[in-house]
Amino acid sequence: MHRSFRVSSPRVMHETIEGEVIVIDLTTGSYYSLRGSGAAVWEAIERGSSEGEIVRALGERYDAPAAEIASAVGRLLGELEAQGLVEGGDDGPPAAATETSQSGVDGPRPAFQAPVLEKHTDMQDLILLDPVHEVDERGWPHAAPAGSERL
Amino acid sequence: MSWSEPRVTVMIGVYNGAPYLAEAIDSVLAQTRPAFELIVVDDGSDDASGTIARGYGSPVRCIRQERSGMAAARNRAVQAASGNYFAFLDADDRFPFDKLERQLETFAGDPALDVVYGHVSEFLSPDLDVHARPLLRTPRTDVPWPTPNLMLVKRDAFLRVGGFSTELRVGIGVDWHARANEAGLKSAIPTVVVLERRLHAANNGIRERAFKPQYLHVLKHALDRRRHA
Repeated sequence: MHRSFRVSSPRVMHETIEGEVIVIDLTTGSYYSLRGSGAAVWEAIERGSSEGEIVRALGERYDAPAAEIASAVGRLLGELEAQGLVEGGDDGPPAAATETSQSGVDGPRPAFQAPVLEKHTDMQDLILLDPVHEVDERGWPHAAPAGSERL
Repeated sequence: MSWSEPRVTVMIGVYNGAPYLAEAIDSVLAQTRPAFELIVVDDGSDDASGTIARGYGSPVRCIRQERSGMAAARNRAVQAASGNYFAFLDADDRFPFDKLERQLETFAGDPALDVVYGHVSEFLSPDLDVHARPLLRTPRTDVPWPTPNLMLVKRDAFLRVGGFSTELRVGIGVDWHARANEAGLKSAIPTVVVLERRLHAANNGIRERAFKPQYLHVLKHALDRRRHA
């Protein structure tokens, strides 16, 4: 529960668009979608949360027994790690203070639906070969630096 | 339509592509199975691109427009095209000498096909300076690439999918490919190199790096269309 998570960078490109998180794995060309509770988990990871903090954030947002949420979050984190989209580490700095408990939700919390990580592989060849992904500040498509040649 | 003799319109959109445009045009004119016409749309270049293209004469046709982007340039060429098969070529790439022959062969083997893709081989542009060369990734050779940049597509199939999106700066090919799949186009990817893709310092992806997030939007819209289909 104390492991903190962060998005794998620069391997992953991601953005939340109309409530849906779209993630591209630049090393495989696969792309993923997270909606609803899955999007909430991803956003918590973007804030640098620990697993415990993620479970707590979802518990404030959704109406479900804590054990059910904890189990679903653990499963999703395992999937995200297995796909290489997030990296779990030792305790990092505490997550930025959030105001989810005062986010203006006065009414009943919505029912919890277990998060689903959608994976799509229909664009792999296109994503892998597009030069836009090798772009960095140096301005040219670049190879990953070989370990022994670090400047 | 399936009984008419294939007539291929090849289309090149160019913006300030003088260094490599002649190589691109020459590679089309050198085809073992000749194109019916080659339309070059000069997208408001202020280098010698227009002059180079106009120097060829038939079957090269030149159209000049104000700068509107690559998608608009290709769409303009489509409007002027009179062939029943379409192919596109970036102004800095080259066709292998037998590209059209091999892709037409694939069509002949399966008349139900709407679009034929193929493989691409990348090459380092010989004019790269010594400092730029080591920064480039190893060129990929002979890998599949189902993209408009190397397709040969039947005219009516292309029109069914629609033109290239003029709202995007990157991901134009991914967007078109997604819509082609949604339109139910039947495709093949023969294991033949049908495009030589140049890696150089001014690849479109670099010029347009401020538009990376658009890539994610292209995929989001593709997913939305799929769910509401």
